[in-house]
Amino acid sequence: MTIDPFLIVGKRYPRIDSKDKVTGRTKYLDDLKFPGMLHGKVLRSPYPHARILRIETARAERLPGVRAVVTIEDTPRVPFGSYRSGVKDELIFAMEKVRYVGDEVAAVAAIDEETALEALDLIEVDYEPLPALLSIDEAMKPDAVRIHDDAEGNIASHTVTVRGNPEKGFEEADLVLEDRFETPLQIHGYLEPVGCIAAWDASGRLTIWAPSQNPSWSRIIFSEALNVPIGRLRVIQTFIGGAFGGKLEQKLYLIAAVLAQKAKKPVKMVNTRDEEFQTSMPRVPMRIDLRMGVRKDGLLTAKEHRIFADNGAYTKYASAVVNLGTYRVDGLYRLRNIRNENFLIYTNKLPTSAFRGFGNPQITFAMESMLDHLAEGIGMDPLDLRLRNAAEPGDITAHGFHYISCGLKECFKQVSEAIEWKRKRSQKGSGRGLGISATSHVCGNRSFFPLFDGATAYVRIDEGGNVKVITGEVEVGQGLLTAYATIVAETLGVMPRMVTVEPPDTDVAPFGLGTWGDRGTFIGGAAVKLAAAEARKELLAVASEMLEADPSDLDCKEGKVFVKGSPEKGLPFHEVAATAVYTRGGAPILGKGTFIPNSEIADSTRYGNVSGAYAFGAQAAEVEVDEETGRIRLVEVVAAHDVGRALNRTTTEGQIEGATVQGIGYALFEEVEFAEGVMLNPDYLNYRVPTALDVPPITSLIVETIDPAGPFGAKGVAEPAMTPTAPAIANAIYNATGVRIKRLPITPEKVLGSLRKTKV
Amino acid sequence: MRNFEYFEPKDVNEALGLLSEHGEKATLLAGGTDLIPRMKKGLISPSYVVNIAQIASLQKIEEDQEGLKIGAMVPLSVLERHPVLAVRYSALHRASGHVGTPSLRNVATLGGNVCLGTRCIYADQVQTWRRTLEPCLKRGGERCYVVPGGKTCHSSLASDTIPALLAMDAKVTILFPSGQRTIPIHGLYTGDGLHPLKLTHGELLTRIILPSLPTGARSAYLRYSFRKAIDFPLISAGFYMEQNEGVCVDVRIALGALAPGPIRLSPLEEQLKGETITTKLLRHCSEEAPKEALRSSRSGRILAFVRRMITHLVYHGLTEVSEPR
Repeated sequence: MTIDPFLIVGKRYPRIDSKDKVTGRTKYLDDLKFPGMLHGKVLRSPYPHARILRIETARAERLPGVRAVVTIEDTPRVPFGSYRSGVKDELIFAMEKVRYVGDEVAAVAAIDEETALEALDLIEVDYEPLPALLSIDEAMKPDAVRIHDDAEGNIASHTVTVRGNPEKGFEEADLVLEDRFETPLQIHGYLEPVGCIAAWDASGRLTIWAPSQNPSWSRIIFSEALNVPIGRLRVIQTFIGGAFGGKLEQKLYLIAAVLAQKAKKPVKMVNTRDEEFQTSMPRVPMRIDLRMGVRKDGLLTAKEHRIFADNGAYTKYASAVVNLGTYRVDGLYRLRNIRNENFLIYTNKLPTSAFRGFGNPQITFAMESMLDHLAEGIGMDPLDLRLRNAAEPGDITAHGFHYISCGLKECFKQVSEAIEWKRKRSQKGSGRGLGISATSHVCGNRSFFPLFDGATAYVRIDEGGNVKVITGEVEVGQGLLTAYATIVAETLGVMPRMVTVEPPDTDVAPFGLGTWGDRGTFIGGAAVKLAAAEARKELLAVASEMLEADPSDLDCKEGKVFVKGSPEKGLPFHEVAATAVYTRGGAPILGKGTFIPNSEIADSTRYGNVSGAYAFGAQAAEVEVDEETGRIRLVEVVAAHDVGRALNRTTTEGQIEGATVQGIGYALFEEVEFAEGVMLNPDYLNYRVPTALDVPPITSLIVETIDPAGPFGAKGVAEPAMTPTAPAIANAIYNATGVRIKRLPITPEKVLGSLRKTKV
Repeated sequence: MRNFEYFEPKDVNEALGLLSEHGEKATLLAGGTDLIPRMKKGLISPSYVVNIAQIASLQKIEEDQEGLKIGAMVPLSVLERHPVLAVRYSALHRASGHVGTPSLRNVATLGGNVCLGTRCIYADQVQTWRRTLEPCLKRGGERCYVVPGGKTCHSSLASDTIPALLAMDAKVTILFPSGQRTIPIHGLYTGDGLHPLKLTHGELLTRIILPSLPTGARSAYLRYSFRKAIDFPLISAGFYMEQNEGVCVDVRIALGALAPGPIRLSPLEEQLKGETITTKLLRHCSEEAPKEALRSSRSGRILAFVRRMITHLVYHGLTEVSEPR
């Protein structure tokens, strides 16, 4: 047995932000108020597609209490996009045309929200309705009108990627299957609506307070859209009440900035829940035509997909979702012969974008569903088929990913044992079934931000012994603050609660790419660890004078700095910290750490090792299907994830459980519906996120592969943990009933309809 | 939300006075779990809100020879934990426990649930939605989105407690400035989606009376919803049966959420009365149920599925109330 060398890493400490949250002390954006602050509201398009003939704001401007009314005329009209190397098809307000119900047409700032709302009603807009293209099929018709003039065929992006020799691969197969899968528009479902406060100072410098997932990166895009130099713009992240990819660059922040500039006052804007649904950049719906070949011995020989993805009216991150998100699945199993074709299609619906999993849940649902039929076709256990092809450490995938640590097979082993795969799969009948599925994911993605990859952090210790971490990375609810506190506490030998992490302020924090792509712990955490190590070195140097010992003979643990072997003679941590400040002209101990992962920008064919590490996971579900009602009862979900190392077991399990619940929603409940281009269920009553009663026991199993590059070996888990849930459930339903539902969500109505068909 | 004046009368007379003084501009607040979201959405904009939470007489549960009298302002969470209800009025007991979530049931009241009115995913949309599409019948237009081409409003009376109370033959007492009346609960509903309640302005529903039930009588409540909490039912169903040595003496089947009013399956009740209850008979009745239930109404979306779930609920409900205690 090995001795656990850690006092804090891998243990179960409470989250450092939990007490403030549960006692209502955490200040979110909407809790902030400034003197003279105005309230802004947006006038949105009531049409899915229409020409703007006239906008008349005079009556609104005359309403007492109104301080500013703005339209496209008040903006620099510089097209911008969310994805740096992608399409720039957006302006701050609609110009000439509106392209979806909810498109921003004008905005008002007034002394209170009621006045702003009243003023919206006084803005007159004349529209000439245009044909609305509400589905990818309508948008792709040869005679369809163009949603954007320069997008022929309403295609926002089209890519083809070929690896190996797919034709030969299919020839070598003993069985080739082809099928179509469809995935719905899923809403992030966070509780805190998007909001912001924008204020310009007298010198013309703009500050935006917002629950932003990527303050430093946002600033670049905002500077472009507002035509303000980066240095004249400051973004301060406020505490985030859930994000899941939805709180990247939001247009609302820009609108607030334009209003604040015109009104010369701070302007606060907060979405209502229905605005949140209408404009919040949810998951990209996809129609996936998938073809795969397998040999009798279980070797997967080829894979081909053609995806039609619904971009909505503007290109946010959907081009990256479809092009950089859906090819990761090809490295989950050892696929060599691949052809991927992706179409991103404009429609007159809300723009879709980044959401936990980033394209992976869509394509993984399709591929993992098909694997069960391939296994069935060659008479192989679906688990054995997966194990036969599963990625292993040392693999270089068809797209050039280098897998250093990879616990995929161990994840399969642990879930299949925990759910008693072999025993239960051999028992037929009883309406119960088991399904399994897996995922692989990046931990950061070099291709996203070509300028650099990496992160930088400072660890500062003041004269009171308080330890402060300053980074550009963002807590979005995933537990990043606690992860960083754990890393620092372990390194400095203090308790995690002694450590606080400052929310990013672009004037203070180092440039950080923010929270997305499972990069927070792996990349940001590695920087924090290096910074903490440097702080420790400084601390020990100061203590070596005080203790008259060589720094290499010193150690710090449990709040004390001491000569190794005699902790009883040690100095309290805070005394050393105070001495450091008072003997060095007020300079606090300050460690700086920079981590640059071993990643590369993918080439023009998207080939390259884009991430410094890769995360893996497998999940199994057991279901019971009532053949009279079609009702699906989840008996259990077991989720095993290769997290590198769990820095905190409780928060790691929390991440796995939360993601699995989101996966259950994707599998069984969640779908935005439209009527004539208008969202039909823009609230949490009619858009059904699973409740606690709809969620079965979830067993989280942590697989530790100790990645050599991660902080203490840690990788990411937030995104991959939701990906395998839906296909595992779909496969379990197939196992229980023989019914294959290829379109999420799997509702009782769909199951019952298919059951009847199979019975006739 | 539009500004309004707020009142908390201390007794029913004060409440009645406020109601008659402000007429159509006043709205009763009887818990508010449905009213407040509707006000926020701008579906109703009362100038006066009369909260009757402080009226002690509306909070009581009393029993006498007439039966169990439940004050309109008794919270649903009290009913779901009430020992008498659990034993003798199983249908209402269970229906109360199905509404919303535990925290909503702490606030929502039986009177509020009985006077819930109808709902519709199209008619109940936020203002931006209503700006976009032509108004429906319920919002003063001429169109029905539930049943395209429909000439009447197809909103849904989706309260959980109404079918349960109908099955138990409950009565309600309504107070008005010059007196009061006690009527069978089915008399409270018009079946018209535009004006689903037979209550006029100035009237106050004060209590719900459950009749004393003969020994051997059983009641039950079943519902179909997508999630196990929060959701309103897609179909709700209340059942009551009284048997004598295996022969059905009296039976009531009431369905909710399918139409603007509750639906009694009277033809099926007639088929069951006087008959010896067998599985075959119940099977037959449940197969007939969708036809009877949807005769006067149409649930536009997922109709085939709704039919099958009606059969499912009616079969299981009747089975439950016909089993010996």
